[in-house]
Amino acid sequence: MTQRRGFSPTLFYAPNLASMVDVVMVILIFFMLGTSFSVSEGVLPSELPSQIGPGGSAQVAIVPTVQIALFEQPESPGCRIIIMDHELAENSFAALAALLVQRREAGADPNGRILIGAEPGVAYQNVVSAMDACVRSGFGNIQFSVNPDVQIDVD
Amino acid sequence: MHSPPAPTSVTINLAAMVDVTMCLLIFFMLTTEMVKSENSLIDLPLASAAKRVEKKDLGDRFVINIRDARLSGGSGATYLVQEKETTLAGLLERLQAERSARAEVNCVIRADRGLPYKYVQAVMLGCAKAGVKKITFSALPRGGEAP
Repeated sequence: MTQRRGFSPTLFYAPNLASMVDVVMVILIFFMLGTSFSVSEGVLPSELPSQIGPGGSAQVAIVPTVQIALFEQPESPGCRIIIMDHELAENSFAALAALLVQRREAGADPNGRILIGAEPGVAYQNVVSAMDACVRSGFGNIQFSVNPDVQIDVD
Repeated sequence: MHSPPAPTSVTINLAAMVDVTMCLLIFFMLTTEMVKSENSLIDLPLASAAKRVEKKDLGDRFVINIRDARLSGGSGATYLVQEKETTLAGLLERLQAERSARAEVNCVIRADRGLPYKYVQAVMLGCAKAGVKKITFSALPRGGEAP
């Protein structure tokens, strides 16, 4: 058998990628359509008084460190803020937070109960803002007053 | 006399495309969360003190979404549990059942920021009646609003 000098045939072995690309593209499209990039959320925890239980809505005597009441303001998305039966000089949650910080620095117990009550028509954002002001001021024990005798008309 | 050259098959080199596609695929596989959707699109209230937490840190959570029906041209509120619409009475029954099944159930309330508080209050009252003690309010951890 003779071999020709200077001739070395080169063979390229490559896998056929076409079918693999097909499969990968299908999986890629599935993940692209199935993905939802969620916005990271935060939470504000709260706890109901332990006296309340099943069949409860019991009336419990609560002696709060601070009592905050939010009242509707007609024709406005905002609300009137009353703290310990006194209206704030400046009706804002920043002023509420500042007042709470003063109370804490004056020796108020940061684990003391903060009781938030709001009129039914007050926007939920205002209630959360009141809660936010309390947490920012260092008060973590936040509770809500709900009158169990009042039937809430929720359409 | 030379014979004509043998026909050559022309193919596209797919190697680079496969590289890119694989990178994209791995990215989507890692970032996708295949979970049962329990969070509806809600315009959450803002609260700078809201803490970012992992879902597992919320314990035995029971997520209630409350949508302001006025935003979609209706009136009142729409209660949703796992993307399914329910009435307030139905929701309260569900709360009772959840409390019976899981003693330490944590009720996570996600409500639209402009919603009148009475709709949230009704759920809180339901929690109290069902014996659910832990309530968590979802909020976006950004600056709050002045009244």
